[in-house]
Parts: sequence; C-alpha cells; structure tokens
Amino acid sequence: MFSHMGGSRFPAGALGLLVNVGALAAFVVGCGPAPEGSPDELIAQGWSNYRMEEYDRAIECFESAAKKAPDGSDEHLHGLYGVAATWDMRRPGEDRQLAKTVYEQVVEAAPESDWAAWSLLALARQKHLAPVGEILDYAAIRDAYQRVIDRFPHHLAGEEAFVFQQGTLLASLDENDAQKVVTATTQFIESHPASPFLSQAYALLSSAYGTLGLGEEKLDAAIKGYETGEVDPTVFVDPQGVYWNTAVAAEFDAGDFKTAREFYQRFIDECPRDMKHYGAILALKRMDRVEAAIREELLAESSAAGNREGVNE
Amino acid sequence: MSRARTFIVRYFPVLVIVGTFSWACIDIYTRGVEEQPEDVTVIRIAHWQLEPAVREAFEEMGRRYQALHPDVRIKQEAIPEGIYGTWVTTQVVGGTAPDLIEIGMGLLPQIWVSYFHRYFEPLTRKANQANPYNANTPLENVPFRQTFKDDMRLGYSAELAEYMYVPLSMFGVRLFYNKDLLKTLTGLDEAPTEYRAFLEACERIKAHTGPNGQPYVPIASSRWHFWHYQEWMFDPLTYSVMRLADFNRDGLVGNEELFVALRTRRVTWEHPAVHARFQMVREVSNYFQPGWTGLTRDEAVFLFIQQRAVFMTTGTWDVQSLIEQSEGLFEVGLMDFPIPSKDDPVYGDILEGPRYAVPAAGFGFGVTRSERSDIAFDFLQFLTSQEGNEELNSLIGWIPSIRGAKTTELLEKFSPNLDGVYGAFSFLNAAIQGNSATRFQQEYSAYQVKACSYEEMWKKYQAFYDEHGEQDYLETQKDWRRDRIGEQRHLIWLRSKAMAQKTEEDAMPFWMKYRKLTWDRLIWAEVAHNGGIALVKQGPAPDAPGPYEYGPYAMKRIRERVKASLEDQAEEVSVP
Repeated sequence: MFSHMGGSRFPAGALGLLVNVGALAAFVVGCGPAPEGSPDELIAQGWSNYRMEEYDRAIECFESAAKKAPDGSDEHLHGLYGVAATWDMRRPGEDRQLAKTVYEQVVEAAPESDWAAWSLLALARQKHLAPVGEILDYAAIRDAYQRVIDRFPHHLAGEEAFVFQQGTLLASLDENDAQKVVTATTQFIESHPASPFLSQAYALLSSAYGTLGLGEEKLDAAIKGYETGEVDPTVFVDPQGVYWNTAVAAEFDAGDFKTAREFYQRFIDECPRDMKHYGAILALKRMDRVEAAIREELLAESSAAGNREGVNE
Repeated sequence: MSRARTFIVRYFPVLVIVGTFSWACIDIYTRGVEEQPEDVTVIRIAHWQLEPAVREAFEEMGRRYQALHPDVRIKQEAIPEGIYGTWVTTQVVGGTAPDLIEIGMGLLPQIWVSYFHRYFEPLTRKANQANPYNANTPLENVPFRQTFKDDMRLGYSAELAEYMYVPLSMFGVRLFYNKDLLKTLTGLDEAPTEYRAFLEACERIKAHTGPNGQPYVPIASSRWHFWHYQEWMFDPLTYSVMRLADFNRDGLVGNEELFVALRTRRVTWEHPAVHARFQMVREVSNYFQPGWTGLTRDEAVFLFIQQRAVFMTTGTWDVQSLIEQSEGLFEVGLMDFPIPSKDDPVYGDILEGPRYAVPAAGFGFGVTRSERSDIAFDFLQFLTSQEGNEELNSLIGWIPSIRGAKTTELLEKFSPNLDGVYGAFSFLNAAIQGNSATRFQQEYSAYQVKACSYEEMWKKYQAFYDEHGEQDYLETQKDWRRDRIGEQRHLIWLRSKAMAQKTEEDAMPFWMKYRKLTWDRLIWAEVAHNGGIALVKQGPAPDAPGPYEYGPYAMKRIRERVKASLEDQAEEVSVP
C-alpha cells in the first residue's frame, strides 16, 4: 500500500512491517491472556463472559475449567456444559452440532448428575429452537422432552421438560392434544404436589379445558393456578392479567357471576391505573342487568305457572 | 527542495492525521485530569434533552448533591436525539459509558434489553430498600419502587424480570390554546370542551383574517400532532368494536384480531363506531392548516407561537418552553381534548364513556456497571426523593414521578382520568406490518387530504387486506421464533446464577425469575403465538358467539344459579 513512496526514508517494506506488527500486537492484546484461576473461578468468569456476549473468552474459560478439574467432578461437568451452552446459544458463530456432541458427552460421563439432566433438557430445547425456516418436528421434540422426564422425573429439569412438552401439545389447539394435556397434567399435579411448576401445570390444565370448551373446569384450574403461583416479593407484580382473565372466564365460560364479580372487584381495587379498569366497572353493571332480566323472566314464569295451577284447581 | 520540505510535502496528510490524533490525545488526557481530580468521583449523566431547562435543572441538582457530597461531581452530556442511539452504543461497547444513561431513544427495544443485560446494573434489590433521602417524610421506610406514582413499573424489564431504570418525570398530552386570540376571535374566555361547541369555535376562528391577510388557523397540526388526536379523540369512539373482535378476551384488539374480524365481516367499515371514528377525523382535520400532512412538528409550533393558530396539541414536555416563548405575547391555556356530549346526534350513542388518559412515566435513567454505580444510584435516589423530585421537575416544568411531590397549578390539569374508554380499531399496532401497513397508510393519507371519500378508502383497502393480510401477518411472525434464542440464552445465564448461590435462600429469587420467564417468554408465548396464527388461518367458527357474548352453556348456568338463589330466598321467606 505504500509502494508509491519510493525514495522516502520510510521504505514501503518497513512501514508494512510496522503496520503488521501493530496489528499483531493489537490482536494479541485483544485476545487477552489465557484465563487463569481455579475451576470455580474460571466457571464464574465463563458465565460473566457469556453474559457480556464475549463468547470466545467464555469458551476458553469453560474449557480451562473442564481441563483443570478432575474428570467426572461437578466442575468438570459444569465446564463442559458451559462450553456446549455457549456454542449452542452464541449468535453469530454458533455450532449447534458441536454443542450437541458436548451435551451428549456430559450425559455419557455422568448420567445421573445434575449436569446430565440439564444437558438432556438442552438437547430437547435444541430441537425445539430450530433455526427459522426449518419446520418443527413436534413429535421428535416431545420425544426429546420425554427422555428428560423419564430419566429425571423429580428433577427441576425433568419438571421443566414436562411443562415444555405439554405446552407444545397445547400450542396445536387440537382437541385430542388438549385431552392428552388434561390427562398428563392431572397426573403430574397428583404426583408432584410440591413442584415449583405446579402453578404452570394448572395454567396448562386450564387452557386445555378451554380448548375442550369445559368452562367450569377451565375456571377451577385457573383459580388453582393463581393460588399456587410463586410470588416474587422483590419485583412489581401486575395482577391485572390474572384478575381480568379469571373474571372473563368466570363470566363468559362458566356463567359463574359470583366468581366473576370477585375477580372484577379485585381488578377494580388493585389495578386502578390499568386501562381496563372502566371495563371491569361496566362488567359489574352488565352482570347486574343480565341477572335482573333473568330473575324477572323466572318470576314471570313462576307467576304464570302459579296462575295456571290456580285455574286448574 | 530540501529533504525536509520534500518529506513534509510527501507526508503532509499523514502528518496532519498524526498531529490531530496527538492533539486529541493530549486534550482528552488534560481534560480528564482537570475534570477528575484524584480525590473526587465524577458521575457522568447522559441524556437527549437539549432543552435549556433540563440542562439547567441537572446543573442545579448536581450542585445541591455536591453540597451534600463534596467528593462527588456531576457532569452531564446532552446528546442530540438523531445520534443518541449510536452514541450510547459506542460508549457502552467501548467501555466509556456514562454512569447514568437516559433510556429509550434511538435503539430498538430489544437492543436496549441486550444492553441492560450486558452493561447495566439490575436495580431490583435497591428498588426494595427505602430511599434514604426520604427520611422524615411520609415516604420514609417505603420501598423505593413504591414511592413512584406508577410503582416504578416503567423501569421494570419484563424480559429480564428486573428493575433496570428509574423514571424521573410523568408526561401527559393535552390541547394548548392561545387564550388572548381565542377571546379576540370568538369572545370566549375559556375553550369549550364539548365537541360541537369546540367545532363551532373553530368555525368562528376560521372566519377571521389575520394581519397578513391570511385566515386564522383554528388548529395548528402536523403529521406528528395528528397521532395525538387519533389516540385521544378518534380512537376512543371505537371501544365497542372490542366486544366483536377481542377474540382472546384480553381487553385489547390486536392487529391479528382486527384482521380476522374484518375478513370474516364480524366488524365492517360500516360499523357505526368505525364510521364515526373516520367521520370525526374529517371534521376535526377540516380546521388544521392546509398541507398539514406534509408538515413537521416544529412548523406547527411556529404557527402557534406566531399567533396564527389558536389550538395545538402537545405534551407536558413542551409546557415550559411554550410558556417561555409566549411570555409577553399571549397567555397559554390548557384543556382536555373535547368530547361529544351524550345527546350528540352522531356520537352521543357511540362514545361509551369518558376517555381513558393516564400520564405515563418517562425520563428514565439506568445505572451502568462500574465501581461508581452505587454513587450513581445514590444520585438517582436524591433526584427521586420527594423533595428532590419536586425540585427537579419544578425547575424543568414537568410532572414529578414521585408520590406526594407537588406540581404547578397548570400541570395539575394533567391529572389522570383512570376510568374511560380507549380505541379498539387501530392499524398502528405493529402485529401486521409489511404491505398491509404501508397500504393502509397510503389510503388513509389520501382520505386525510380529501383525495377520496371514506367509502372509496375502505373499499380499496379492504380488497387489498383480504388478499395480503394473512401473508403479511405470517411473514412478521417469523421474527418471533428468532427472538426465542435470545430469551433462552438469558435463561441459561439466569439458571447458572441461581445454581452459583451458596444458600437456597439466596438462590430462590433467581429460580423464581427463571421459572417466571421460562413460562412467560417461552412456553406461554408459544401457545399465544400459535393461537394468533390459528386465528388468522382459520378464524373463529362461523356460529361461535362473540367474545363477550354468553354462549348457550354459560347462559344455562347463569339461569340455574339465578333460579337457585330465588329458591333460597323463597325458602328463607317461608321459614318463620
């Protein structure tokens, strides 16, 4: 690039060398030193780099941790899992096949470990998160989740796999699939009464009943889902969605005005700034009107029947 | 030519570059030393508010903070809107981020979320502790987040399940008017808030000619201003459409729902509420200045300031500057958007209630990660103490975001209307984009400039929408799947964080966030996403009741329950 500078005191070759040395120095500085520390520290660095989307550094850290830790140890498996997760999730530059191989390596190395459970779930998630444009093979996805459920039925990964699996059935909006969700989820609720995914299981059940057109069962499951939900006291919890959805399900699916009134009222009291606030007030008036009309109709019917009886007598 | 001269001539460009670079390095270094004495911590705050009042307010609040904390200096950088997003990106990626950054401008929401994740401090823990600057006030011991009028929900990132930034002000939109000009041209002391009376006033204004021989403009408007009229005057007329088109009964009509309702003709353009909405567009825009669709916000403001127009809509962010610019010229009045009365011959039966209007929180600042982040957050707490927030906003002329912080009499007119109706027939929602959105804008623009009648507009558009709407919707949904990777990536990190905690108690908040986000962002999101696609592809069953109608089963159960309650009452009466 500097060849036209013939005759100068900075010959092109020297300048070129300078540029190359500079670039190399910048590259080396950019790469940074090889990661150091105990396996635990390296894993922490790995996740920190993963968070910062410094994926090359994250992989280096996880690999170093896996190498330094004794084979089969928790740190070794954690390091390998980190390598796989980073190759799986990084964009751009992902290598899903390599990620799959490393996940499988973790499962093979310690099939009963926590990391095997999370790796099996990751393999199922890989299928579910297929690239845009690829048609999802839901049967294969459900099978992959089933492998996690069968191997780790009471592990968090297994319970999460269950919720994902049932979610895919629900997402089809097919009545047969919804019936399968009802059966499987009811069983899950019975066998996992203390699961942290209990509320989600009830939500799945409620939605499945909705697809099947069973209004009262839908409402009952929705209320149980609300009652068993985890509440994080440290963050803003906006109950408007739960209150509104439960109220309208009670009113229009179950014809249960008592429950509908209760949840509309909670909405009115606890969500005063929400735009649906006025809608909740209107709903209370609407139900009063409907009930009054039916009451009048029934009283008129009963009075007509009384009159007929009187005439017959 | 001497060798030195030859050298200079040959390498002049290189020397200029090297010289400039060296000068810049020296300048930055010396300024840094000057700005940041060794024993002082400098907190840099970046925003895009170029209004003098905002900058002066930060200067003043910085001085007050420094009086309490002599070892801290507050430095602000006001960056123009046009380059704000790029500037923020350069700063955070380059590791030179200011300590406090105003959030929201210049970048897509998902980019802001990714920056939150990488470069900003989550504020959830601190948001649950009391603000020390609220000592001896009614907000003493109240968790920080609950001291905000909106419970700090603006600063909550649903994607991360964390509080990420702190809103300093609230904003609302109203109609402003020139009180003196209104009096001169119409004889009215106050602007009418009833729709017909408002139109009549506009008609009278239009009949007068200004000193330049041009007729007065009743309403100064532009493409930007039109959005306000749509949201606050026209759209609320369509609230009743929700009962026909809100298929998932979430209280809002999404664009996929609107598309299905129009395609199945459950809702038509001849629906009285829809027709009324577009009729009002025509009636009101008759009083805008000619050519308003091609004008910018500033051009409308000039018209208003030059006293050639009587009304103009804008938000609280402009109150102070409008008052300053009109000082000595005319008095600025503030009013709510006019609404039709109950006995209005056209709109009386259509508008189902007052209009929903709540000032929204804004002017939010996030704290970037650094060794100074605790001090930066402390300064934010100072700005959002009851007293500090009142002072900051009184200096700027905006509405405070903190409960109990007082505001000016004029701004009190922006008090919220919590009970009201809102629009249910809007193409502004982004769910269906592509050609359908572009085509609507084209047809709608033609209608706005009276190049076609309402019927011509909707007939042309509906034909296009029937043909292309589904495809456009499905195209936009492809992005949905792409975004799931980002969600999953974050969840894997969150889980690693939960697993890294030493005790179960410490891990619990992370696990709770993990499960909530797994459900909200992945599982339920997929069910809802597929529901939308199924609705667009199949539509509702032809004989299905409307979303807010009682089906046969519900009606049967309602009757049974009413009957049972009547029987109970009868029994109670018969028991002596």
